[in-house]
Amino acid sequence: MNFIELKEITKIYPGTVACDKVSVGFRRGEVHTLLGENGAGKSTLMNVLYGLAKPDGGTIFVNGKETEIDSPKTAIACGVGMVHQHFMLIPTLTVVENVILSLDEKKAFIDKKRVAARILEISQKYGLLVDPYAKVSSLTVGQQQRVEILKALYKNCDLLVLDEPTAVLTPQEIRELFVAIRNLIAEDKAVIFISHKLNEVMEISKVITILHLGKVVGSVNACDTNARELASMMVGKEVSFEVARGEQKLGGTMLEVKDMHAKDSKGVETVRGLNMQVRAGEIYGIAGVDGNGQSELIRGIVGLCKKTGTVLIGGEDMSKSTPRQILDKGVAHIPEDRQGMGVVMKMPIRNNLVLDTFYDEKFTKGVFLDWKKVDGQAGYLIEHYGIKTPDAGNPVSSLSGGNQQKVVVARELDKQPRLLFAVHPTRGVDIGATQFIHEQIMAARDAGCAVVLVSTELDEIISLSDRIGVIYEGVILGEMDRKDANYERLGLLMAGKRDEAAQTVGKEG
Amino acid sequence: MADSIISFLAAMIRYSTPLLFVALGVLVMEVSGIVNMGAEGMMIIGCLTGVVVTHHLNNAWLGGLAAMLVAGLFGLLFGALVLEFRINQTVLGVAFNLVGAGLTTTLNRAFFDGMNAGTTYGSFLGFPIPTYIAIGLVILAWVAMYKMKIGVQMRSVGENPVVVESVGISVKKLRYIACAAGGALVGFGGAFLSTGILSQFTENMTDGRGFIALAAVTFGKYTPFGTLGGVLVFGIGETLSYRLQAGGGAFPYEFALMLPYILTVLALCAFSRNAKDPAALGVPYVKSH
Amino acid sequence: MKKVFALALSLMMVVSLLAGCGGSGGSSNPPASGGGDAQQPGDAQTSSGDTDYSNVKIGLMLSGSANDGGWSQMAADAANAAAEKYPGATVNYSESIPATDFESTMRGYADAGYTIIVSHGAEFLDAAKLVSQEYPDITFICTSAQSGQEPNLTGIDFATFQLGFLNGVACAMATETKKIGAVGSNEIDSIIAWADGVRAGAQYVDPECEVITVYTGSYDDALKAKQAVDALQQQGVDIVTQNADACGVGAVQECDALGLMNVGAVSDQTLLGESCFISVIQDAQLGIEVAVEQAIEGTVEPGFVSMGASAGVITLTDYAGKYADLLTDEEKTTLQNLWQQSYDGVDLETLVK
Repeated sequence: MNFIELKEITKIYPGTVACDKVSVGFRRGEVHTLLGENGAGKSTLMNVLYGLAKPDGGTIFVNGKETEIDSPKTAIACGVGMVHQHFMLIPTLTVVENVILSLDEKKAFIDKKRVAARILEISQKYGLLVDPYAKVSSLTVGQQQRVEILKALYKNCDLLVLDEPTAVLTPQEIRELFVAIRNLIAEDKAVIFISHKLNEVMEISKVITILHLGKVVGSVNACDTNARELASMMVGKEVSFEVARGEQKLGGTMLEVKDMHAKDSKGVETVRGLNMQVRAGEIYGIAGVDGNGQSELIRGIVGLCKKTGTVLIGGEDMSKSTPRQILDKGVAHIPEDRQGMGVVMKMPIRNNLVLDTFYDEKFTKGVFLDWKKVDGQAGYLIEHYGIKTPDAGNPVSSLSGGNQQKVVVARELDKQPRLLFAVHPTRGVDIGATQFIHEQIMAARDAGCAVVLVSTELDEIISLSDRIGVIYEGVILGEMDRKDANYERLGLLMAGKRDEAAQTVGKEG
Repeated sequence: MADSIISFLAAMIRYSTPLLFVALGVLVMEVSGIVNMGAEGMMIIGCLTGVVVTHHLNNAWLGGLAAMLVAGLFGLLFGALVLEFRINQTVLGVAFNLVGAGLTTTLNRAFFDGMNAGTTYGSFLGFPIPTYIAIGLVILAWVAMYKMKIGVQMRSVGENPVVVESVGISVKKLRYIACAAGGALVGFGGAFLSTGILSQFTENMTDGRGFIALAAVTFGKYTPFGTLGGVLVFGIGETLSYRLQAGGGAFPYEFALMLPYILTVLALCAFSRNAKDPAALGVPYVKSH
Repeated sequence: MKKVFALALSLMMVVSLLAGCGGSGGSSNPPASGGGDAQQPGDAQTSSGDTDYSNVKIGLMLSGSANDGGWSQMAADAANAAAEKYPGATVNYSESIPATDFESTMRGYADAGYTIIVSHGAEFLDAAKLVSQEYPDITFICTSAQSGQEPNLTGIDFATFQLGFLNGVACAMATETKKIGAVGSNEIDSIIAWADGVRAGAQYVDPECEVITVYTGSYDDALKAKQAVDALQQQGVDIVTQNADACGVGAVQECDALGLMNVGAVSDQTLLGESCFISVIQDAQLGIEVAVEQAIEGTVEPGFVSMGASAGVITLTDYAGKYADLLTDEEKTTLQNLWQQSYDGVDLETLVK
C-alpha cells in the first residue's frame, strides 16, 4: 500500500500550469525518484506535499486516508520530512540549536543536552555522524546536509524528501549519503529523491517517475530501464550524452601558470604554489571539490584577485595586468557566480550581451553608445545561441537559469577567444541547455581555443576534457589524459588520496 | 591611588548605565535583523516621558515604566513601517531621530519647560538600583539568547528569516516583539538619564548616545556581554576625558573631549574588524508564499 | 500605499523640523520679505512724544530660529521691545542664517535702507567689521562680541568678565579646600572671558585659591556637566560654578548629589538645586534692548562696549538653598559692595593687581 499518495494534483501559477493532474504514490521501504528538468513541476509537487503551496485541484492520501496538508506543520505531523536544495540552516547556530529551532517546542527554556543525546542516537542509527555542538558554519556541505536529514528524522518523519541532494556533494560524500539512504530504507522509511543526474538515479532508486512540463510522462522501475531512456523521457526527445569531438588541432602553450599563490576573501591561502599549462586546441578540465582553490585560481589568472607567481598568456607575462588588459589578449571568462559576476540581473538582456565589449568601436558613436548596433548584435546572439526571450529589452532576471547562462556563453564565445575559462558552466542548468553549452565549448576547442574547464561534476569533466587536472588544497594533485580518467581515480584524487589513486592506475595497468 | 581608581570605576559605571540600557535595546533589535538607527529619537522620547510622568505621579519607577511604554510603542511603529511597508531602515531611523528631537523640543517648550522630576530611583551601595537592573539585564539577555527558545529564534530570524518561516514561526511576530522590547529598553535608558541621573529634561540631552549604542553593539559582536564591553569602553573614555581636564592643566580640552569617540573607533578597529553582522540585518523580508 | 507612507513620513520630518531644531534649517529670508514685521500698530499713541521714527528701520540677523525659546528669541524680543517705544520704528529679521550668507544678508539690509543692523552673536563679528566700513551712515551692532570698530560698529559684551568675577568672589569666600571648579561649554571668547573673571575674582579674595576649568563641549548634554563635576570633586574641589547653557543643569544637580556647593551664573540657577546658594544674573536681553534704544536715539558709542551692572545687565539674586547662610554677613557685604562698585562704573579688572 502507498504510504502517501498524490492524486490528480493540479497547481496553476499565473501563466503556467506547474502541475497538471499529477498522480503518484510513495511506498515505505523504497526510494522513489522524481526525475525532470527545471520547470518540470517536481518542486511544485513537493511544495504541495509539504504544505508550502495550496493545490488548485487533487487530493492527498496518507495511509489511505484523505488528508488536507495546509502547512508544513501538518505535513510534519503526517510524517513528511523535507531536505531543501538550499539548506534551511542558520550557519551561526550550532547543530543542536538548529534542531531546536526546527522543533518549535512549547517550553521556553531549551534543553541542549537532551536534544544532543537524541541527535547522537539517531545519527548513529542511520550512519549520519555529526558533532551536535559544532557550529553549522564550520561543517562541510555534506555534514550540513546530514544535519538537515537529522532535523527531519528527529521529528519522526516516515517519508523523507531529498531535493537534489547530490548537487553540492563530492563523490565520496555521495557514497556516504547513499549508505544513509539505504539505512533509512532498511528502517522502512520512504524516500523521495529528486535529481537529474541519471547515473545516481539509476543506482539508488527503486521506482522512477518522470515529469515533463507539469505532467507525469511515466513511472518505471529502475531495473527495467536505462539512463538513455530516462533522459529521452525527461527531455521529451532523444538525447545524446556524447559531445561530438572534432579533430583536435593542438597548438602551442596558451596559458602557463607558475608557482601561483592566492588568498580567499577570509585571508586563507587557498592557492598554494600551483603550476599548470594549457595548450591551444585542448580542453583542460580542473576537477575538485568546491573550495580547494578553483575560485581564487581563475580569479587570480584573469586579474580579479591578488596573487603572486607568474601567469603567461600566449607567452606574454600578464601577472601584473588589469582584467581589461587580460581580456584584450583574447581571453573569455564564464564566471562561477553567474548572477553575481556573469550578468547584471536587473539590466536588459541586450546590455548584458555587450557588457564587456560596449566600448568597442562596433557599438559606439563617439562617446555615445549606438543602440541600433547593440540591438543588432543582441538580436544576432539571441537567435544564434537560442536564448528564449520575447524581447531583448527584458531584464536578465526574467530568464531561466539556463537562459541566463546562455547569455553569458553567447557574449563570451562570440569574442572568438584564444583562451576560455569556463567555471561551472552548467551549474543549475537543465539538460537541454547543458547539452547546448557543452557543444559550444567543444566548438571553441575545435576552432583552436585553449579551454580551462572548472567543474565539480565528474560527468562533465570526463565527457568534455582532453586532459584533466585534479585540484586539491590549492595545487594540481594529479594530471591525466582523457583516456586514463575514471570516477574512482578522480574521486580519490579529489579527496587528496594520491597514493591510493596511483594504485588504481597500477591495477588497470 | 586605589581610591581614585575605585572612584573612577564608580563614576564610569554610574554614568554608563543609560547607555547600557539603550545598547541592550539596540542589541535586541539588531539580533532580530532590524537596524535601529532611530535609537537616539526613541531615547529622547523616553527622557521627556520619564520626567513628565515622574513629576506628575511622584514616582520615578512609574515614570520609567511610562517611558518604556511610549518608546516601546515607537518601537512598534518602527517595526510596522519596516515590516509592513518595507521602508528603508536607515532612512527611517534618521526620520525617527528628527521626529524624536522635534517632538520633544516642541512639547517641552509648550508644556513642560523646566519641569523637575521631583524624585528619583532608590540606590543601593552607592549605585542607583537601575544600574543593577541593567547588569541583570545583560545576564538575562545572555540567558534568553543562548538558553531559551526565543533567543534561538531571534538569532535565527536575524540570520535567515526564510528558515524561521519554514518551521512555521512568524518572522513578523518575532520582529515585532524585538521592536517593542528594544524600544522599551531604549526608552528606559532615556528615562533613567533624565530622572535617575539628572532630574529634568533638556533639549537634545541624549547627545548622540543612540549612535554610540550602535557602535557598542557592533563592538560586542552582537552579544550581550560584548555590548557591555563596548559600553564600558566608551564609559572609560568619557570618564577619562573629564579626569584629564580636571587633573592635568596642560591637556588640550579638545583632545580630552575627543577621547571617548577616538577610543570607541580604535576599539572597533582593533576588536571588531571581522565582526559579522547578522546576515539578514537591514534586509527587508518578503514572505514568499 | 508605500508612496503615501513615504509622503506622510517626509511630512512628519518637515513638521518636526519646523517645530524644533531651528538651527539646522539653514534657510534665510531675504530682508525685503523679512520673517516678521514686528511693528505693533496700536502702540503708536501710547509711547513717548510726537516725534515720528518711521525712518528708523532695524534689521536683526539671527543664526537660529526667532522662536527658539532661547538665545535667538531673546534678541528678537529685545529688538521688538526697544522699537515699540519709538512710534514708527520697524524691525525685520532673518533667521537661521548660514555662515556663508552672513555678509550678503548684511549688505542686503544695508542696501534696503535699514538704518540699524543688529547681528546677534560673536560669529557675525568678522562680517560686521567688513560690511560696516562700506556703509558709514548705518549703525551696526554685534552682540556678545569682545571688540567693536570705529566709527559705526558697536560690539557689545554683556560683561562676562564681571559675571565671572562675581562668581569667583562668591566661590572663594565659600570654599574650604581653596579649589574652585569652573564648568564651561566650549572654549569660545565669551566663555574664556568668564573663566578669566572667575579666576580673577577668586584670587581677589584669596590669592591661594585655585580655579580648575573643565569644558563639556556641549550646550545640551547635562550628563556631561555631571561627569565634569564628578571629575572636579576628585581633584578636591568643593564648590563649582558653571556657564554652559542647559548643560549647566547637570552641574548643579551633581553638586546636590555629591554635597558640593554651587554658585550659579547667567540665569537664576538657585532654582535648579539646593546646593546653589546664589546666582549672578546676566540679562543679555536687557542689554540688547538698551543698545538698540541707544542706537535709535543716536547715542550708542562705537567700539567695544561692555554692558554690565551699570546697565542693569548684571544683578545678584537673593541667597537661597541649604547654603543660604553659609557666608558671613561681612562676606555678603563684600560681594554686594563689589557689585555696587561695578554698578558705579569701576572696572573690576583694575582691582586685581
